[in-house]
Amino acid sequence: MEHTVHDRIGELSAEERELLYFKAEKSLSELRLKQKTEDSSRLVAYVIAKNKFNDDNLKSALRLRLPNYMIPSEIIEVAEFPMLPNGKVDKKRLRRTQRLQNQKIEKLVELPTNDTEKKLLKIWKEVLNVTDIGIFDNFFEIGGDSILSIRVIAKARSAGMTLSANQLFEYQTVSELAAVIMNDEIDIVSEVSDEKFEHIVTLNKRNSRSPLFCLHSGGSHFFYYNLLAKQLEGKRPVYALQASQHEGELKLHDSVHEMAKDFIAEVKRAHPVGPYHFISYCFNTAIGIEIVKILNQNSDEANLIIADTMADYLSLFAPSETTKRASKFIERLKKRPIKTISSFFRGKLMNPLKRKLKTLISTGSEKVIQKLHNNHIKIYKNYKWQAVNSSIQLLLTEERKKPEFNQRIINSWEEIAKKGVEVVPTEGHHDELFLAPTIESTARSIEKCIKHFEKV
Amino acid sequence: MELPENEVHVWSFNVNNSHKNIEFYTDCLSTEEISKANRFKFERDRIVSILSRCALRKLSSMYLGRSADAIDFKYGTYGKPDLNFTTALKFNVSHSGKMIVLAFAKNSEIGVDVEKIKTDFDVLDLAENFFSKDEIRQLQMTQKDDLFEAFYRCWTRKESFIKAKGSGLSFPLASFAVSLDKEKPRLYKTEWNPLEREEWKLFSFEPNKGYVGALSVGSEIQKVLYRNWDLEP
Repeated sequence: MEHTVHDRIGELSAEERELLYFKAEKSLSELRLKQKTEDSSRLVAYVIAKNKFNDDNLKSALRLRLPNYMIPSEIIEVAEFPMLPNGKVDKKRLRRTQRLQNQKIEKLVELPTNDTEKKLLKIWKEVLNVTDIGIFDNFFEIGGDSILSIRVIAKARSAGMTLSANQLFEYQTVSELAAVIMNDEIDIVSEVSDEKFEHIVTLNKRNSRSPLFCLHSGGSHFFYYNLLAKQLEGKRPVYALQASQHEGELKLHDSVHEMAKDFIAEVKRAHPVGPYHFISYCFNTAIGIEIVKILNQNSDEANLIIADTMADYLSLFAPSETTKRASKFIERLKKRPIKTISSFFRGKLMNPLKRKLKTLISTGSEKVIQKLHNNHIKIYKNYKWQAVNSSIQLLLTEERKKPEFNQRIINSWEEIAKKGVEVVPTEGHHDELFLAPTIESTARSIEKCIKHFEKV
Repeated sequence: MELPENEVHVWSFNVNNSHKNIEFYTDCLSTEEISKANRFKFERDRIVSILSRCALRKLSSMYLGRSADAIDFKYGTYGKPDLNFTTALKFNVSHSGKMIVLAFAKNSEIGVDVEKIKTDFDVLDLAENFFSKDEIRQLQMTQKDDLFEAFYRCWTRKESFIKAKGSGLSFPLASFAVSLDKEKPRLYKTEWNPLEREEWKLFSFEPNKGYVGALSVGSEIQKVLYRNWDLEP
């Protein structure tokens, strides 16, 4: 349905008469203006300056205060105003006055101070098709718009700079954008790993941005999140939260609530002030929601991102949900709950993970992991799922056998998170969300969640 | 001026030489709008900013039957402007190159986008960076001589949709897909809610030679009227 403006209505309607009137009004105003400015088509300012100043800066400062037509097209610095005997300025003589020799009239363009700024500025100039811009110019004040912004991002990406689609909207000057790119070198403060923590494991360099805590997955090791931490390196600090260290005496929590309280104590020690972000999936979603509930109750800003998991997962196997095929599973579940669920999940989680990360497994015997995992399932099973006064963000992938299952996942969280569920689509298969190459898009989706949470 | 329910009016105008009379148009604006316009470094951007705001005030005043300076705007989370009083009237404005496009509807969310067609970049590279799989595939199958227009059809449809929703570019561009087909603009897929695509109607138009425009509105809209407003005699 392509339309052109040429199929417009022919007759003169009331609104067109109004517009014609508007035009007539405009012509009148032009006439008045013409008379007013007949012999002064250019506005020139003569100034005596105490300090050195720059033409452009003065003009931009004036633009914030004066309507356009009052902005002088030229600013001339003079030593003094020639005066008439009656005390008024002698305009005729003033016009003949020479500008001070040392007045700086070359354009001041803020030059790049490092390589990243240099590269970015070059890209901006190419895309915007302008030459006289500097590193403090705002992209959207020098002709930039949405489509040009993604062209800049695409060029920056192919020059090896990692930027997301909306980062130009957040950091609108070359200087800020370059700082984000170089962030990991700039913002690093002390490493948490010096301190003694029982549950927190630092996975990447610490910086001043809000931290992301990854609840370690039932049955696996915290290095499950290593790839994610690497992706977010420089963007934000990433930590894993594990129930217990694998060496020494194992800490086996009695309940989800106890574990959440222990985790919060260390989270607050590492980062006394929020916002805090947590990512959670499978059996640790219960701990995730419990942590966020407690933090929110204490007016801490806490955000829970659920990676493609249903709330109260085991309720799926409640009698009302059972099909004939599932009923056998239930029978087994009743007899040997831990073993049944473990083997159910091992196929889905542990095996693909083991294949990829085999060489990384260096600490903690399988037996220890299994023990911790079993405890996870135990406390998850006993957790009472209740509505909480928080919101959650839900990463959902459509790459599953039954995409319609997504609605059930959403519904399950809507029952729990009374302040709302924000669904953020993500790519790849559930089992591979934290594995290469899917991790790249997962990390992007997680950053999106965090940025959005912090904006709202 | 009458604007029936279920109808959209799209006004386009060319900036041309209006800068000669910029003082007149500036008079329509609030101090805040003037200082906003003055933040632009280059004159061409200041002119477009002033003209589009003046046209918005003028046209809104005609639809609302109140004077142009009695109109007050508010801004959404992502900066989408809206009228700051109770009214069924909704609008959206876009500009590119020398064209300004303003769209008005009643009781329907509305987003409009216009782009001047440029051909100085790698279309497929850009699409592969930001568009959805569906759109990339459609673009890859497009004839070479229609590639840039198809890209702009896709972009303006997407941008108008994001604007209609009132979201900024933080909205994931790849999470929904539009058709690239010249004759049948539509929303193919909305990943966050498969049913949402039924709630919107898309239109494409050509506000001037060398430009592409698109409009996203609620599905209850039945008719779009395109009008050209020549500012210069």
